[in-house]
Amino acid sequence: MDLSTLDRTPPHVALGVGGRIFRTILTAGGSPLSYGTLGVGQMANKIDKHMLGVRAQDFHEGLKEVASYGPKEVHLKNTLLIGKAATLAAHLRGLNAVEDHEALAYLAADLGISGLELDRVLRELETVDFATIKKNGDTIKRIELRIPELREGYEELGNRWEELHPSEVERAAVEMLHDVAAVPRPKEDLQRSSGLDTKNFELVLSIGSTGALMETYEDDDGEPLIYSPLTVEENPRPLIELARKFPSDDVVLALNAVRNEQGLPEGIGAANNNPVIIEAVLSGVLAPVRIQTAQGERRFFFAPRGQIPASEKVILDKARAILACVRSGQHFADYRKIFNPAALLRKLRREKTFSYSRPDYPEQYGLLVSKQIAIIDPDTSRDGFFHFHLLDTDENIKALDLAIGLLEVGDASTAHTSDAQVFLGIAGSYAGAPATRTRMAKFVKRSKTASRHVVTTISKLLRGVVA
Amino acid sequence: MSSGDRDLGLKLRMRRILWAQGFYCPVEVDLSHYEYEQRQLMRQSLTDIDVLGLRFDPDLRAQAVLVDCKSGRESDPARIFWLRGVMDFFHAEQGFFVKRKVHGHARALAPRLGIRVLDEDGLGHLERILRADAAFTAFVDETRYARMEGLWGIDVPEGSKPTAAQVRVKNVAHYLQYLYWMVDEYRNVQSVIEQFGLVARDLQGAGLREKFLAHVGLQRLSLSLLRLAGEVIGRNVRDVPAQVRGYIFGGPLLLREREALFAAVEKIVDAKLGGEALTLEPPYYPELVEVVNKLVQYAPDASQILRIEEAVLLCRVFGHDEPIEGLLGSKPTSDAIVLAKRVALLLQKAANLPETLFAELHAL
Repeated sequence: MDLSTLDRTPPHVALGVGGRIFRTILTAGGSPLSYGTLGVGQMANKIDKHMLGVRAQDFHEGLKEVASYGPKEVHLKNTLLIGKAATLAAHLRGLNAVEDHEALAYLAADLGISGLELDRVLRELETVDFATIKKNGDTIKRIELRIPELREGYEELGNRWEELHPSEVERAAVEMLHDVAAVPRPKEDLQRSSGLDTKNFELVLSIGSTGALMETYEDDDGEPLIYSPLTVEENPRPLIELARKFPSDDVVLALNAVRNEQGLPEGIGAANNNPVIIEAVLSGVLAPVRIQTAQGERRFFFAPRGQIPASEKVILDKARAILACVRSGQHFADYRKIFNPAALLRKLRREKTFSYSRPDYPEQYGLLVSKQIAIIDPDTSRDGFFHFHLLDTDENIKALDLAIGLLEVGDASTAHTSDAQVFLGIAGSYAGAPATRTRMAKFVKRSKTASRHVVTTISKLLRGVVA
Repeated sequence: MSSGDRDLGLKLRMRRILWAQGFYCPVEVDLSHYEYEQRQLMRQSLTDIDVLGLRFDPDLRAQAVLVDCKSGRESDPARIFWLRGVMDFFHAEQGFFVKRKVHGHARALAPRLGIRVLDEDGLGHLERILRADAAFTAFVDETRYARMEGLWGIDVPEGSKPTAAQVRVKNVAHYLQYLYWMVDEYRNVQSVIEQFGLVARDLQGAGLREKFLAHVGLQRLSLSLLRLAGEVIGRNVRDVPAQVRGYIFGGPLLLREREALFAAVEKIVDAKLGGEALTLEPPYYPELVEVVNKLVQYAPDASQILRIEEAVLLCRVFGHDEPIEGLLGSKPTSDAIVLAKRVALLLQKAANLPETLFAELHAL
């Protein structure tokens, strides 16, 4: 669908399934409509174990600079503990063992984990089987690490959060953050679905606001809405307007689709004639990157990303350009489509060039030349072919790292940079965390464990296990 | 290798010589052939290997050396030709023919087949220049060796029948001793784990016999994982998960076949068992891939894990709490120790084995 021809009249709002619509908006004619409501404790955006771990880390990252604040200590102690464990794990990921406990303490302090908290956080990593602490008497001899690198690590942490029996307030806080990170919510409805009384609800909002995780926005009608700066780049209005125009479930689904596949091309998958995505692009909620290909102009969509300092906006812009170019090669290349975008970018980071010359580099990666990220030279030994070279600057490498991170995780936690290698002086891994935003890779859960004997027996046979 | 054989002294000395050069020498290596007899799969012993030496380079390229030790009246040329054949079977680049006194025409023949001959003088010379004559004594401790050998397999009093549990354990020992060396290598990673999964309950006692079996199993699994990691490094280090998947399931073609088989069987199972999922990957597969990834990343340290495991077996499990540094010649790196433990944890958790089986290793 051509976005320029789209009718931008706000659509009538359809009721969502299962009485889960919560908003009140006006039709084009201005008649008020009332909507169904979520029940007490029913959040619009269901949170799974993986995201529990991510949101716990968000709380830690948001609140780590807040030195002493009663409500967070009293009401979020489990969440912050798991958040600290997630942050430490994310930064140690790729290492095999740590023997310099003092250096680890320095690193932890930089990550907002005090010396008094470090042992407790390490014990949590032991509990989820990410580490073993070897001691000589009372002294830590070595911390042996088993932090997953090729699959997610957040699920175990989310499970552990559940095992710690978080309080009602704590649970509501995490779910509220997850909810408004997906789409802004009217304050009144958010409180109802949280199941909290006014005192505790305001307390959670206060904690969220202190950590720049949840903010209030008042629209022209004076209705307060809660949004998360985690997923709003600057002005929350476009996202709030989008949330007003479409059922919340549709907005959540559409934005999550883009978050899960950053650089989603127009016309592909969830971006194929999706009115929510089209409106999101037009209203500025989704950031499109345009690339001119042999088949015409292509647009690639990116979900909003909050909490990026102004100084790093240019890095985000470059990362999106890199990712759009790779997506173009993945979906629209005339020959030898890109099969594994993340592997390709990791190779580019390591070797600063691609192995072979190709005829389509100018059109596929021309955008990167204009953005001072790369240069493209003619292949002197092969007419019509070109070589690609990354411009090896600090900014470009950071952008490349961020692009890899966007590919692997999409919408990641708010963990800030702190390079464990600087503190520990240990070489990282090929699959190690990007330097700019360290995070755990999302693991695609393939299947459930077959439980019956016949199934396991057949499985072994088919796998080639020797009887 | 048998403690009752007259070549034992030579074999243990050769193990020590190879160990001094950085090799790892697995115990209980025998080649057998299997054929149907009276509607049963029967094992026919082909030959035993006196000493097999394996060494991994820092980039996990494997080297193998085979040793044939003889003190009887067998024809030297016949043994040398036989050794060449076994070397080819094991892809061994080098072989040693060891006999206290070697005939002249054997000395002329052996080098043409890539085999070195060693007589008593040659053995003594190697021991001196490698400083192996006084060191690494655990390797030539015949008493310790006899004790280990006596605990291999199961102990059934004469006239008694083995219990069902003993038969299960015997099958695992049988697998480690014979089948492991005969089946396609890619099948061994899963098979070792699954074999131990079948006897997890029988090993709960974690006595010395059970520990011996478990440590040999751990060494076999480590060997297979190192070979797998070496393949990954040699093929495409940038995509460990895809390389592991291709290897574990027998290569791209077999992988495709197995996927198709699973899809077909899943339909049947789905219909009959109410939608229970059937997966190609075993439950421990994600951790298996993580472990291989770590072996690839820390390949120089990974190349040492078999020697650490062997040192723990000899010094801690069968020794008197002797420091492993003495046997290894130097202090192992922390990363190598952590990797050895990680493989042990993989086996332990995937097969649901008691932690105490590897207590000596985890204590490092």
